[in-house]
Amino acid sequence: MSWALWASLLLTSSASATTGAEEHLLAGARFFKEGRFAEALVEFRVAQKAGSGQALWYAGAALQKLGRSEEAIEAFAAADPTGHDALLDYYRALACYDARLYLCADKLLASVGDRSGPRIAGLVQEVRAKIAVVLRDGPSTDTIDWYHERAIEAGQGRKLLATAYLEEALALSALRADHYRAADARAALLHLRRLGSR
Amino acid sequence: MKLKSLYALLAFLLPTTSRAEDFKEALHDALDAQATAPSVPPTLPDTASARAKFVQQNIAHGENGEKERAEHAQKSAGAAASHADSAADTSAATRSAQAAASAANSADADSHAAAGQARATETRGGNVPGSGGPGNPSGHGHGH
Repeated sequence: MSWALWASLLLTSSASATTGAEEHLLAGARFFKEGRFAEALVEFRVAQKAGSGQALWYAGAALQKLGRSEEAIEAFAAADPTGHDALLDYYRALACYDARLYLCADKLLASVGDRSGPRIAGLVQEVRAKIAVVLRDGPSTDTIDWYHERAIEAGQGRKLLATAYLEEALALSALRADHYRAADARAALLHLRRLGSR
Repeated sequence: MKLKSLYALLAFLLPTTSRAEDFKEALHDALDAQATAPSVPPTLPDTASARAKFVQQNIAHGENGEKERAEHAQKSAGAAASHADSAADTSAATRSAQAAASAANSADADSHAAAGQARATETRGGNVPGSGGPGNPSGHGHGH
């Protein structure tokens, strides 16, 4: 049998393997576009189980729209970093925003910029302006304590979320002259990372 | 012969590429259509407002209030201890992280089970097993 025939057979089999996942992703996209986010989430989850590497990004977007921002943050953090674009980063930024991870949101929004067209660029500017206002006076020690508390609560089995809260706490500490609790955040992050690599 | 095989391969690949572009566009359109700015203005949280919310929840939760109050007091004490030590001694932070991590480890099994259940619930359209249908809204199966 020639190499081309072998290659065709291989491609046919891999194409049919991804078709199931693609169908569910497309079904999810249709629901998403209609604003039926719960149904979209189910389709994205099925696509993920069927082997789609991108599905988790879309599941994250659906979770954000459903107001489940912490789950969205976990989904985005666990997703394949190569399988996304600027628009998905916009949804990720909104999930951070909803969970009050404003520096996380701002960093993502800065990376989105105008890569997703003028309409999204306008939204990016609008959200970044709001974040700039709230961070203008710098965070209080109470605010930083809040993020540490959330990290401890999230630490009950949700390492990705705990990491997100600690990273925010660390970034907020850097906005203060006294770097309040920066050492705490660094040590806790290091510990979570060591735990993750085991 | 080789040329024919190459044509066959190309004929197979070209529609796949076009389909992939359509697919990508459909996903992009869906996300673009629903992209909006957040409606809630940002506010930096603080532990004082979190405590106020906690008190409110306690009132709402009634009988669970006592248990939650105890849990919260324990957490606050831990956080305060860690806070007091942090300036001079980062080992306190490490201990705090270890405590959180250890709790995370022990809760892993539960969270996996819960995730599985949540996925199953989602596929059933939000019905929890044993919650019954519209005819059995109480969720107590046999009605004992």
